[in-house]
Formats: sequence, C-alpha cells, structure tokens
Amino acid sequence: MKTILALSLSLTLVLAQGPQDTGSLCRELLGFIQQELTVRNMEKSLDRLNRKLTLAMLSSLRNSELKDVDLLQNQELLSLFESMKKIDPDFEKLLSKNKSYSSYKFWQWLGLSSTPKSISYQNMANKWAKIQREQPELFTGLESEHLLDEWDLKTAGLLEGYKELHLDDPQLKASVEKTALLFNSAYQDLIDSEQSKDPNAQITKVKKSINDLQKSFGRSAQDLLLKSLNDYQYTCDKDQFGPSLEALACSPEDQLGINLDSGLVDISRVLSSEFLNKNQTPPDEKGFIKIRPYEYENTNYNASFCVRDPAIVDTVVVHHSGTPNTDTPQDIHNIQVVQNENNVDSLGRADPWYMIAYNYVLNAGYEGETQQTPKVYRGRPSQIKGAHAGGYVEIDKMNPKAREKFLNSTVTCGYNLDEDKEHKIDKLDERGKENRQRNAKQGLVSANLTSVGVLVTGNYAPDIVDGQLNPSGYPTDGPVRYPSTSALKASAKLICQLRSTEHPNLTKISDHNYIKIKRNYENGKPYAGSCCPGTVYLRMQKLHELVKQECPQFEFQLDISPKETVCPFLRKL
Amino acid sequence: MSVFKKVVITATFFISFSVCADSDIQKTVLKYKNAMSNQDKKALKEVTTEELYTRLNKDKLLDRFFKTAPKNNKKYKLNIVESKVVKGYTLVEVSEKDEKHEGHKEWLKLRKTDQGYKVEELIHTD
Repeated sequence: MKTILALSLSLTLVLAQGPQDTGSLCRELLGFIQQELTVRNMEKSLDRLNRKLTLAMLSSLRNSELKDVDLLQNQELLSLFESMKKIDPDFEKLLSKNKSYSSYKFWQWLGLSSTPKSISYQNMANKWAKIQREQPELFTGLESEHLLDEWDLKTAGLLEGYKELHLDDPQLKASVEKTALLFNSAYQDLIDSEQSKDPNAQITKVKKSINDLQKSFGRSAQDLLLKSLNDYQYTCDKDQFGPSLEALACSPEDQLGINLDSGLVDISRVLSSEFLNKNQTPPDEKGFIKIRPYEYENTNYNASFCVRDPAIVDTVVVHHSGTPNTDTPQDIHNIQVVQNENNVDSLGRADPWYMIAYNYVLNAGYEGETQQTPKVYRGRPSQIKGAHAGGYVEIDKMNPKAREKFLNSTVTCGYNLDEDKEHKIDKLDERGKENRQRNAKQGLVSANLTSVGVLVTGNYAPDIVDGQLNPSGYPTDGPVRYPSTSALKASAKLICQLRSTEHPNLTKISDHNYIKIKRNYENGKPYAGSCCPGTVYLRMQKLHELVKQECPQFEFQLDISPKETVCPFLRKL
Repeated sequence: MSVFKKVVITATFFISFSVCADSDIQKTVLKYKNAMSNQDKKALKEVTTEELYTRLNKDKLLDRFFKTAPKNNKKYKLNIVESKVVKGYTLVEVSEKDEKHEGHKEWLKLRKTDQGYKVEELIHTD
C-alpha cells in the first residue's frame, strides 16, 4: 500500500509540471540559444567587421582621391585613418599612396597641422558607421550589405568588453582569446599581396570576401538557430519561449541582420560572465526525451505484421545498426525491408518484413565527436511486434505484471491492405497462430513480442570483424569507438520515458546478443550469438546507472550477455 | 502485327532485359569477390563506386584486410534482390558454396551507373 502511495505521489509530481515551471525552463533554453548564436559565432562576426572596416578605408581612400577631397578639412575621416594606422601599422603603406593623405602629411611635416586623435576600436566602428551615413559620397560603389550595420557595432562593443570577462568555461575563454588575436592579423591577407596593387581590385576582393563571409555566417547562424529551435520545440512551445522568440526567429529568405536587430539588445547581457556561466549548457529535463514521429516511405504492404498489447513488454533490447551513425531511420528501414523482401517461412510461404525492425531509433554522435543533440525517432509503433530480437523467452521468467497481461491478451497478425498510416489490420494472417500456441504450451514466447528494440545508430565494431570487411567500423589498429555520454543519457531518458508512458511493465534492459542466446546459454545448449550491439555492450552498465539517475522511482534489472558469450573483439576490451 | 504478337514480343523483351540485368549484377558481384580473393586493387576499383573504393583504402583498411585474408578462389551463391518496394535498390546476399563456411554471408548494395553495376556499400548486419 505504501509503495503504491509513494509511486502515485512520484507520478503526480512528475506530471504536475505547471506552465510556470516549464516557462522558466524554456526561457533558460532561449538564453542558451542566444549564447550559442552570439558568443560562439563571435569569430565570424569579428571577421566580418574587420573586413568591412578595411573596405570602408579602401573605399574612402579611393573616393577621396577621385573627388580631390582635402583631408585637412575632413577631421572625421583623418581621425579614422590615423586610428586604423595605429591598430595596424601596415595601413601606412596604403595611406602613403593616396594623394590626399600625402598632401595632408606634407603640411603636417611642416607643422601646419596636427595629427587628429586616434580613437578606440569600438568608437572607430561607430565613427565609420556615422561617416558612411553622413558622407555617402566617400563610399560610392559600395552596396548596403558592405556598410557597417547594427550587428557590426555590437560586435565592436563586445570586443571592448571581452577584457573584463572572467570566464569559467575554458572552451569559451579560448575562443575569446583567439577572437581578440584575429583582429591583428585580419588585414594581412586582404591587402598585403602582389595582386592588391590596384585599389579597385583590392576593393573588389574585399567586397567578395564580405559577401562570402556573410553567406556562410548567415547560413551557419540560421542553421544553428533553426536547429536549436527545432530541437527545443519538443520541450517548449512558442508561448513558453516568450516574446523574445519572435525577435530571433528568421525564415530562410529573410536577412539575418535585420531580423536579429531587436534581439541584439540582449547581446550586451552576454558581457556578464554570470549569464554566460549560467547558460553554458541547456537545462536538463530528467527522465524525459521527445520521441519524434517519422514518416517512413517504402513500407512493404505485402508483408503481414502482428499487433500486441504494449503492456506485455517487459524488456528493452539495445542494438547498434552496424552502419554509419549518420544513417537516417529511413536508410535503416530501406536496408531491412529489402534484405527481407524475399524471405520465406519454414513452409516456403512469402514472409517479408513490413518495416524497420526496431521500435525506437536513436541518432547521436560517437564519443569524441562534436556532439549534436541526440534525437530519438519512432520506428515500429509500440503496439507492433518488432523483428529485432530473435529467440524465445520463458513465460515464467517474464515480469509478473507483463506475464499476466500476456496471458490475458491476444496477438493479432495480418495485413494493412489499404495502406493506412495508423497500421490497421484489414486482413488477418493466421499463419503464425499455431506456432504461438505450440510455443505457449512449451512455456515459451517470441522475444520480439515481449520486448521493444532500441537502435543506437552507428557502427560500434572494428572495420574488420570475423575476417570480414566492415568499412564504417573503427580501424582495428586505432582507438576503440564507444557511444557518447549524451547518447547513453538519451537512451536512459528514453527507457524511463517508455516506462512512464507506453510500456508500464518495462523492467529489464538487455543487449541483442543475450536476448538471442539466453535460453540456450542458460540450458547449456549451443548458441549462435551476435556481435550486436558492439561496444555499446561495454557501456550497458553505465546506461543502467544513468537510468537509475534519470528515473529513480523505477527499478530496472540489467540482463546482459556474460562476457564469455560475446564476440572475440569485445572479449579483448 | 496482332496484339498477341506485340504482347509476346514486349514480354520477351522485358524478360530478356531482366535476365540481362540479373546477369550483369552477377558479373559485378563475382568480379568483386574475385578481386577481393586475389587481392587485386585494380580490379576492385573497376567494380566499386569511387566513394566505396576511397573508404576501403581509408586507414589502409584493404591493406590490413589482405594481410589477414589468404588468397583463394571460392565459389559463391548469390541471392539477388532487386527491390520492388524500394525502387532502384539492389542488394545481393553472397554466401560461400563451401558447406564448411556456410555461416559466412555478406550483403552488397549495388548501384547502376553508366559503366554498369558497381558495388556501392558493404552492409554489415548483426
């Protein structure tokens, strides 16, 4: 009774996440996105700013010469030239070739004019922007995208403030230091080369580099923003993000700069190291991960499939795909449907596969790779028996509640002849019924009926296995490849999620090899195992610990292969 | 020409075409397997796509593989699946005819190119 009460209370607490709690979670997420978008892209922003400053200088030098501008009468422009020279002495070479500047220097040498004050980097960016607005004739030939904009001015402001930042995140600190160095060397390749003697050619070259950079920056920033929003939309909806989201969201056709203007006010907040440290990683939601729907093409409607009560499932079986971790669920589905297209049963009757064998597909980076947010996709719907496990389990050894459900439910097999997306059976297939009844009399049930398959997409085996080539595996003479912590964490969240929602009697975690061989192994009979799930097997203990952390209210039993039953390459590790 | 004759001619053409496709696939797969058995990189390059050949040479994979695999000539059994469900998808299951090694099976994915069928992918299944 106490256990039931405690469980009910836990469940109520888990479900009782009111709108306010989720709201603050989502605003924190938005803070993380802002940081990713601005601070981590600072190098690109600065590169763009530097090029625009160079272009402003080249253009104004060229036009002042063409228009015979008396620099002595244009202190604003002079001050900018002197400031640029102070930042990078190589600008002297450019300036010395300019008639207007040479004339000014002549009078300066004679002591008939003084050197205007040079200004700080941030002020210089502001002044260039101002002079571009007030004296457009000095920038004839430049399009609007080559002129300094709000984003550039904010970038300049941030650079000034970087010195005061005390950052805890070493990666961010290194990025800031590298960015500060960028400025000093930014001009060299732009102007200090043989090809850049012709001022027009110089201007064209810098313009092109700004265009290229703008495209690449715009793309990467947009990709980052849209991708982040895409990931988080499964946790938060638009309203929970608050009004700031509207300022940041861009459609692919819109110019990034314009739409980000209103969000740029918040950029000044990133100077606060407290803000940065607080928003380094996205906030975590325990025991929950969104299972993304997936529309599979090429379902084999000539194949029958079986539907079962999801409550008879007591085991989750972990697999690896043995293919690149960049494969999509559709790629895996295609392979499996085609491989089994011409299958026949023991009586020679056609027995192809309906769709991908697994119930859930996880996509994540390998350990050591740049980590993207792991994603979980639906494979076969939870009520459809998978085709991943192989072997049989003893009914007596099932979880008691799952067993009870199994004994009091029916399994229905058939065809989805009208090809509906809900996978409804229109025509029964009684072929397997006799087999199932015979197995039940022997106390056995197909492991595929009482388990769900979770696929960790990737090749966690060496590139030569059992004397066979496995090109997408890791080099046999190189470092071993393991699943990343984020992949394991995502798997743990998924297992917790399945227990809370779709499979309430899920209590065991197993690997593919063991579910296949367990019965024979335990009875001392010969067995033919599998190398699946590769080195993911070696992280199953960690997975189990993560599951306990993610959902401590549930108990799971780890039921994995004894080491002597696994593939030779795993035994050595 | 009668409708019946037209149907017969079309059907014959279609069947011949299918048979030709089948035998082209067979030739490619057998060339691939022989190239592997004879450790002939040049022959291998002719029957694999550029991407696969590059991947096979990455991290000296082929060189390492050839060191461990003895040169031999074997006979193979092919199960060709030109999918009707996934259009344009061709897989071939290759197993050794030698009964002692019946467990050794591999799946090859083939792609039709201007130069005929080429092995595009080695599918490793557990």
